Amino acid sequence: MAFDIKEVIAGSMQAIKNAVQEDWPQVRDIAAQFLMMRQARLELLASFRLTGQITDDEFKSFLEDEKKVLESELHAIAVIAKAVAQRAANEAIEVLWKAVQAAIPL
Amino acid sequence: MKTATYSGLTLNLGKQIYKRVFPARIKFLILAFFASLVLLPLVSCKVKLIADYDRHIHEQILTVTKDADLFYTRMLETKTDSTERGYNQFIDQYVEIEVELRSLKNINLTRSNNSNQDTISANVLNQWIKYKEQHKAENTLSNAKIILNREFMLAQLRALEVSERAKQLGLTSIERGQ
Repeated sequence: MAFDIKEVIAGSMQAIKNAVQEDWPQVRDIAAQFLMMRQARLELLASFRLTGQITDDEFKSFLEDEKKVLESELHAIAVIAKAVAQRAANEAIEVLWKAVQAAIPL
Repeated sequence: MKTATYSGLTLNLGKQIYKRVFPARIKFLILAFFASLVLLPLVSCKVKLIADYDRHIHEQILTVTKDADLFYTRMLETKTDSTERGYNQFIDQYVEIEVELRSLKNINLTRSNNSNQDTISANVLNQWIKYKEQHKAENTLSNAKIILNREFMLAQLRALEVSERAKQLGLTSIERGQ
């Protein structure tokens, strides 16, 4: 069987596109959830400060915690991005592998 | 002239011998063999950017998240004075959850391609210890602080849970069994 490199490259590109398209809604939903929960948390924090239930120092301390939460969320999103990239790359390699197997009877 | 003729004969003879010994099919197989030597390492090793998904670790994260939620929610049900909300009333649960979180951090440290989750695990543990130390220093907690401690702890643990669950996205269609 002939090994058409153009066809293989096109197939690999399509595999990458499909992988990213399939996983993108999950990435977007998780990022949106993080944002919504941040908003709710900050509203709660502000309301406790405004009603005097926490002091200024406590308020500042929780704002520092919020920075750390943001850091963790960005790391979680980085894991998602890496996972999507890993899948896309391996899907493309599988297309190449199948084309090689079809062309060369090993 | 003779030399040229001999040379021409030798060349023609060489081509004929070459064609006999290496017909087109053999040439293709030799070419294919060398091509596979180059391509095989490329296709047999997979791209690896993150650690593999681990169901047990995922379950451990979900369990400790529930434990932390339960811990603060139960604390909210107690009276605000130091007899019921004193640090000593909660030492055992503080220590149990801290050990769980440290265990998660240590497990994550041993996994390769896992730097992002290492940082999240460390953030979760540090925040737990910070809240524990604050409780120890004040020997009580207001309702507002319990609610905020719970919300910020759950937010950190949610990031940790997402970072483990997301690893399933790294599997190809074949690995997912689709």
